[in-house]
Amino acid sequence: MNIALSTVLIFVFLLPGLAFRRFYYTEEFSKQYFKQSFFGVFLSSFLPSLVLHSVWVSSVRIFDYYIDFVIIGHLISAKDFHQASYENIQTYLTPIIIYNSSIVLVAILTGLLFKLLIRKFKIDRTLKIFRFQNHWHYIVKGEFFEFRRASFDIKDNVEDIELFYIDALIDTEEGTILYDGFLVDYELSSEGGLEQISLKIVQRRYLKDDSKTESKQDKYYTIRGHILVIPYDKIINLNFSYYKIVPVETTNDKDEIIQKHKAVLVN
Amino acid sequence: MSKSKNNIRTSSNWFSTDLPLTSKRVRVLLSHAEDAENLAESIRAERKGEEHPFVISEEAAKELV
Repeated sequence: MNIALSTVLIFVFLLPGLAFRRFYYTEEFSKQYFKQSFFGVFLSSFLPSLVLHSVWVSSVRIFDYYIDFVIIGHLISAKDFHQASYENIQTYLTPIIIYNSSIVLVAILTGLLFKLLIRKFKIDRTLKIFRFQNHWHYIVKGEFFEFRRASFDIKDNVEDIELFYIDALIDTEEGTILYDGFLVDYELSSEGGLEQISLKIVQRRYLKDDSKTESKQDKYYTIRGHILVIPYDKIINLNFSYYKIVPVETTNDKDEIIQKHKAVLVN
Repeated sequence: MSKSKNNIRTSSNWFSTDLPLTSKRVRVLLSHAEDAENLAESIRAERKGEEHPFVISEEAAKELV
């Protein structure tokens, strides 16, 4: 058996499935693409490949071609050089390239489409089997409210959430510090956990000051800057608050209508 | 300000299903220092059971039209 050629043929067979996986796990779920075991990758690539090849093998007959499995068998298993098989590849090189290019292209589009449909119709929120392994995404974006197992509901839609406010308890050598501010970014680690969070308009206070200072406001120190990045390994726990902005009153000041707003928790 | 696309995080499209962390309105507010401070004060007041209504600055309002 020609091991090198067999490997190439198996790779070509799995290529549509690999392309499907790569484009199914994109953006917020891209880390999951790299996370799976070899067996997991093989299985999740094998099934889409099998489906797509089955469709393509049937479809090529429309164009008066057919897949000769005898030749494929020769190429994979033949101990000796099988000239007729190589000549066949040479003869039909263009259709073979078109076959593989089109199947990979469709696999890419199918991967994107499947992910889009699952996210658009919130199937991953309602059916656990379709849920992505990036559990932090569902917490950070508030989408876990729509899980079947969610212990409580919110009247507002998850999409009504306008901003995320975070309290992060951080362990330092000088004591435990509570940071709070707007969540403006987060990064996932290669293991799928949180790597870091980025906050804006941050203030902090030492918990040890709670017993010393009477005024609550005196305990806070405003941190100036654009964003504050906190590595996850320093975080003891995180408190997430989901807010929206609502109008509260409209005043007529010198013929100019001024509308006031306030931030309220989604409920 | 009326209920508009400014109030929601944009929906999924063919190339992007990852909703941004803030609505367009909040993104504009956070881009203006004064509005960002006001919004933070509003949240911190709400957490203490108080109210801190704020007026969106003219600059930010123009971007939200």
